[in-house]
Amino acid sequence: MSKHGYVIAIITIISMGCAIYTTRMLGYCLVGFINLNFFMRAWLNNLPGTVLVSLIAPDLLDMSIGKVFAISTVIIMMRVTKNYFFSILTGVVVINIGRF
Amino acid sequence: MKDLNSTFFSWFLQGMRASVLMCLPLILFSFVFGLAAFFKKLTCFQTVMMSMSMFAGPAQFAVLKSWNIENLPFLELILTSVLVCFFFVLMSMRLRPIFIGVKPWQVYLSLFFLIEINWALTLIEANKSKLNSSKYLWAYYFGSGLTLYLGWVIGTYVGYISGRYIHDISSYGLDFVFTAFMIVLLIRLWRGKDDIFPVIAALLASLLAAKYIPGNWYILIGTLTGSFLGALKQYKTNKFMTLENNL
Repeated sequence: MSKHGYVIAIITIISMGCAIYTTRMLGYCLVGFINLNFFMRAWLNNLPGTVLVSLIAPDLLDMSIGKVFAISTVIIMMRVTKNYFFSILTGVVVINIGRF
Repeated sequence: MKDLNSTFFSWFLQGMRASVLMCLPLILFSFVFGLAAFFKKLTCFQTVMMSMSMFAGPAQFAVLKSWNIENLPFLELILTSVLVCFFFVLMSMRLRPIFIGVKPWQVYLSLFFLIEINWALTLIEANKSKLNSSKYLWAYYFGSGLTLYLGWVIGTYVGYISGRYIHDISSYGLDFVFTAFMIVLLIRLWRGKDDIFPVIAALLASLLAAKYIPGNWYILIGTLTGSFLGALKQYKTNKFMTLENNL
């Protein structure tokens, strides 16, 4: 990698960090100054779920029976145990069994 | 004064203790991020730097997908990371009434460590102990944020250096950790049946975009479609849910 490319990569990373920090402090800053209308608040409240599901879209396009089982296991485990680590781990075990 | 400080410190420690258990899945997630970054040919410094400055797993993975060192799509990367993290705006809004009386510089410093885990822990603690001073709640939040941050950065580093010993990210099913983590977060943040419509809309839009549109636009397209259609439906039916509906 050229030195130029390296510097650009670092600048990009720091810029992304700053952009994310801005989202973290923006809400705290703006309380009292702006009043979000119903639609805006509903839109913001819908973001977490829709972001998470959109992120895994390519992985869902490439489906196998093993993956269907693994995803179902994660969903059931999380609903029953409410334990992040245990649910993820069980899903990983199931996908390994499927690939084996 | 001594008493006050010791109580302050004990709340800080309590926050740390509360999030140590939550650190395990986070470390596993950051381990896989470090590993993925290794295979994407980022340097160790860049990878750790990313975790240190962004501290947002879904955004970091999203950015990693578009990462191309020969031709960095600067605007796309910034836009993606902002959109993926935009709900932090709501989370920090909710913290304002809880941190009344805490010095602004302390709050702004600690907001750097805001993620959904310490946010939820702090709100639960605030609901549980209504008499607690906001300073103690802030100490609790800060302690928990710092613990999660350390776990995140250390996990990333260990994941990156493990890349030398693992030939393929799909060995041991590690590639599935990302999907599994997104699913458990989705279930954790699930607010009820009114969530079905926006999530299904986002899923369909992102699947179509991932299949037919080159690049990583599926994240933006899926998110915007789902969240707007969901908001429109909630607006029409006059039903409103906040992020706290699931706490």
